[in-house]
Parts: sequence; C-alpha cells; structure tokens
Amino acid sequence: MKGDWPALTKLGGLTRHHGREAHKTDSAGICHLCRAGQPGFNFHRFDFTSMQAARTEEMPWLRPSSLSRKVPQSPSKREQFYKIDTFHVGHKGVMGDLCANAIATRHVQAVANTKQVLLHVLKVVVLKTTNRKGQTSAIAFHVLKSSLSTKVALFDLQIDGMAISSGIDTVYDQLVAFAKENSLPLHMLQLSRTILGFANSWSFPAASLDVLSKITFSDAFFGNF
Amino acid sequence: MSFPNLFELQLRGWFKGADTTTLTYFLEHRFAKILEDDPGQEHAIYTESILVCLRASSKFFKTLYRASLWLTNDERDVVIDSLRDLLANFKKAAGYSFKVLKLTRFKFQPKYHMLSEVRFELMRDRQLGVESLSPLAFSCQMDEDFVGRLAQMSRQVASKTVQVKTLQRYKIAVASVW
Repeated sequence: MKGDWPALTKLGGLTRHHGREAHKTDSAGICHLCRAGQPGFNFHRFDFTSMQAARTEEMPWLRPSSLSRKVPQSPSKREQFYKIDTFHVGHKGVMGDLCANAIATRHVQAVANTKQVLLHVLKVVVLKTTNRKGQTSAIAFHVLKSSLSTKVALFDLQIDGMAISSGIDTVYDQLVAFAKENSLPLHMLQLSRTILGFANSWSFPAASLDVLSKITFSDAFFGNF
Repeated sequence: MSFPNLFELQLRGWFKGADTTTLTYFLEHRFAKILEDDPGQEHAIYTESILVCLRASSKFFKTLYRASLWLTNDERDVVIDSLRDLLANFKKAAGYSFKVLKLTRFKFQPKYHMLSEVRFELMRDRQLGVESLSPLAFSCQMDEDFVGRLAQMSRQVASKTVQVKTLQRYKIAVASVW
C-alpha cells in the first residue's frame, strides 16, 4: 500500500505516524516501522546503529485495519505493508524543503552583492536627504557603509514583504531561463512565499503543495465508499 | 458529487515531482557559482553544506531513475552514500542556521526520518548480502503527477459509478501495459 502519510495513517489505523511528533510530552513515535520519536529514540539520528536500536516488535496499531486483516501479506512484516513513498518523502518532502530553504536563504545575499542595488539605494537616499539637509557626502558615506554592513541582515530575506516577493519572482525568472536552456521540464507557473512556506522571516520554509486540491479530490473520491 | 476545477487549482503551484528535480539542478548550478565567485565569503560553511545537500539529492534521484527494479551493488552503494550526504548536511545546515544565523531554517520533520528509513533498509540488505528493490518501486510519483488526467477520466461518467468505472479503467490501463 502506498500513498501520502495522512492516507496511510487513516487506512492502516496507525498509532505511530507523522502527526505524533511531540515536544513537550512524550511522543508515541512518528514511524510505523520503528520506535523513532519515542523518548530515547531521536528521529533525526540516521546512523545504522541508532536505526537498528529503534526496531520494535510492537505493531503500530491497537487493532489491525481491514486492509491489514483482509489483504494477503507477509505475516511477519505486517507493518511493512504500508510503504515509504519516495515521492512524498523525497520530491515533496525533504528534497522539496531543501529547495525551499535554499531559496529562502540564498537570493537576498545575491541581490545584496549586486553593486547596482547598492548604488540604487544610495541614489534614492542621497536624493531624499539632499533635499532636506544638503549634507550629501557624509550621509552618502554613512548609507554606503550601512548597506554593506546589512549584508548579513539581508542574508536571509529579513527585509520587508514587498522585496521578498519581488526577490522570489527574480528567482523564478532565473529558474525558467535555466530550465529552458537545459531543456528541463517545469510545470509550476510561479514561485511565491506561500509555495515556499515562507510567510514571515521566522517561519520554516518548506515545499508547500496544493493541499486544498488534494484534500478535495481524495475526499470526493473516497468519501462515497 | 462534484469535482472542483482541479486542473486550474493545480496549475498554479509546485505540484509535480519533476519540478523538484529541475529546481534542484537549478539551485545546484547557482550555489556552485556563488561559492566559486567568492570562496572566502561569510557563512561559506553554510552555503557549502546546502550545495552538498543539493548535489546528493540529484545524485540520489539520477541513480534511481537510471536503475532498474533491482539495484546493482554499485547503485545501492551510491544511493546509500548520497542519502548519508543529504541527511548529514541537512542536519549541519539546520544547526548552523539556528546557532550562528539565529534563523529557523531546515526543520526536522518526520519525513526526514522516513528517508533515513529508506537508507536503513538498503544498508540492512547490503549487510545480509541480498539484493535490494529500488525504493522508487513504491513511489506515487506516476500516479500523482497524472492526477489531473485521472480526475478527468473518472469524471466523465455518471456520478454514481465513479468509483467502479475508475477502477475498471485502471485495470484496463494496467492490462494494456502488462
């Protein structure tokens, strides 16, 4: 049986699953195959010994679901009937998040490195301040200095919303050009803060998918059973 | 029962697996260039670990897409090692962003563990000296990347028979390529 995690959890009646992650209380475990996530079994340990140590005989359900009872399967590996799917765990999971984080991390430093942007900032500020006070050179120097020192602050999109959005648009344009040049398929029509799961600077970027359409589809499809 | 305009809903965002692959190639290219242009830059360690992650990710998928259902020993070694590089550097980037940059990036989620579960499975096979099935055998990519097409096929019948007709058509499609 393969599918996304919410589907597998429902269909298998799983008690240990992705939604059981807990920080303040003891978790029941986040993996139907092992004890990962339970106290003493940190799920970010991926070395062979830790993984081996987390194996358990305990089934990840209180009562086997009808799929586990009725579909012929290996009796000694009943929990393994629910398969890990590289598409949800990889493309839409860790690898997707990796891309989202890489974009959230990256592009502003690239922008900040561009001399043109600095010059533009400088011009605007100089223009504004000259009108008011006329102390051009001193302020210009100060602005230049502060623009250079904001490099780190800008490093991770810690700027206002408008600039982030236009930055992401720039990344998307570059992506389109790259895909075309290397004849790679590209289906998305845009990148946005929502798609990158990047609502504000303190959120964790992630590959955010069209959850709405998926829920609607599976509910409409399975709802009548 | 009515389906919303699924095609339009899905057209907007990041919904195809292939997009992740393209995005990974693109970012790999960009990050390599950024490091090349300015090797002594601030936070180079962070940037480097992201680059290693991206490289490992594309190596992982490239190897699996080229492999057949049963992996050769070499392919399995490559997959195991690239997953190690990916998971280790993901962790490194997460630690660096949190401790040094004071930023919430590279969150550990249960899917991180599931990926290490894939790696563990392959390592256990290697230890036992048996052959490994490609992890792609259980991937939903084909099914989901065609979800628009499937929805269209299943919608073009009377609403009461959607489930039966969909399964029948699925069987026909499977039989045609068997």
